[in-house]
Amino acid sequence: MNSDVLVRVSGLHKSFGDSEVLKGIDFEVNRGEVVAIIGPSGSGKTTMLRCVNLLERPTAGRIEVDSRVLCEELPDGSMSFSKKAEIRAIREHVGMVFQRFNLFPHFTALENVIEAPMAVKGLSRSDAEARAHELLESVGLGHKADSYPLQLSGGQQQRVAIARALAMDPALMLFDEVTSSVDPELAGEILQVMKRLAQEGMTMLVVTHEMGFAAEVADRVLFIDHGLIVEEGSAKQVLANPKNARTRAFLRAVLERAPMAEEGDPAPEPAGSSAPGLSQIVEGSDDVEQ
Amino acid sequence: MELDWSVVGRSWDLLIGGTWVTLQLFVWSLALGTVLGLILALMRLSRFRALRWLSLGYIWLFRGIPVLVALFFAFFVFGRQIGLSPLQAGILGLGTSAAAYKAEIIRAGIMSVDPGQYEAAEGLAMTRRHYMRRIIIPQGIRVMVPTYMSNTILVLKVSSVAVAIGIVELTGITRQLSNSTNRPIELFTAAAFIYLMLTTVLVIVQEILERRFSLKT
Repeated sequence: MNSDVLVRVSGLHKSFGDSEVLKGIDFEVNRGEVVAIIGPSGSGKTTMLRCVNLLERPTAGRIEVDSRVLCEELPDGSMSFSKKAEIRAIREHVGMVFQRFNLFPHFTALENVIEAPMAVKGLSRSDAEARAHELLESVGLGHKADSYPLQLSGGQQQRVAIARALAMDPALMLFDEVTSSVDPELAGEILQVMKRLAQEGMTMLVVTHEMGFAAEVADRVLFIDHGLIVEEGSAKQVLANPKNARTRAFLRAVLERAPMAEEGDPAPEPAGSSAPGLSQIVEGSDDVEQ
Repeated sequence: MELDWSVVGRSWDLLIGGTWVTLQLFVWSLALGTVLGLILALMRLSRFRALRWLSLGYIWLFRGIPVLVALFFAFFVFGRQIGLSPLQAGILGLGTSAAAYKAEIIRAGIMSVDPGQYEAAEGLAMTRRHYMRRIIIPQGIRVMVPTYMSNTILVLKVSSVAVAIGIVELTGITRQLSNSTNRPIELFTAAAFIYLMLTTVLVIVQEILERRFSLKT
């Protein structure tokens, strides 16, 4: 077994009642790798991400994080899930950031960040607070430690949520459309933090609609449609030179709406005179810089 | 008809004595109702079917029978057989009835909490026990306070049925006094005034709780 592989998912299926959302997903994430998951809404990408820390219970398949098995299929076809304590032990090392932030609204930013380290890792309050201040500082919110979530903008709340996840010293970070519920002009400040995390070597699994971010930061891109990984490869290859017709159609639909249009369109499939070129996005992605 | 308010002054010590009994009934049955209600609410939200059904059965029974009937049961079954004092039996009867309502109020409050809060807590590897106590229930309280306090005011007033098992609380003593003095209007007006003072305190408590648990914006 290769210890460089942090996440190993195979044969992942998930159904909600009669509707099968994931129809057999296989992928691996190596340590230090940033993998972007893109795809149309309803394609199953969020469900897939949520399976990785078992917030969603797969109906079939095997998931392994850091060489520990969260769930697997038994020979008789039934699913076997790890014990609650084992699942918690794995979750300690898997940070998750949600689309809707999910900060604890009755806690200050600082209290949001220190709660789990104190309760789960047994850190003393002073150690937890010292670390929390560091983390809030690092996401640019050192001055907001005593603010309550509802007193913060969406972009600030999401950065607190990232700090909260990082406070557990995770080996893997899961990001679920983390810029989708903030105003577009605030998305940049979140992407900036994520970009720095990636540069620091954090292993990240990122469900996103931010093609510019995927192009610039992701080592690999998975394109998911109708519950299957349709295309997979380096960011450059999938985004600039997609082989699959569905990938092309999706990227065209996304990019036609993207506000980064410029003149000159060297992409093989021009989407219209005002649409941006794919390679242009791959090359210069200044949109995540502030 | 002439009203003679001096009877209230002459009866005041007895009225205050009755009020004291009412307060004992109220405080202890409220405590019992709240603790038992919380346990029943958590049972109803449990993963285990048996606990859910047990809780549902309890709530069905105690919401379905009059408080007076519950009170008689507590008095004749537990009071007579086990030897509880009338006051203890009264607390038991009122508290077990109140618990059924408190359980539903607490459950509604807990269920109002955004599912994202559970997911965040789960994702941070907290135990269920920990996040229910620190994350979910404190947020549920904010939603519970108005209905919880309305029901609490009801618990205070309903404590007057304890007169039926011989507990001489505020309503009981007022009735005895009005029989002996033939001044029911003056005395029941005084009793109503005392009840109003007590419920006013509860209204103020509600206001304080709502402020305490409101989210800072």
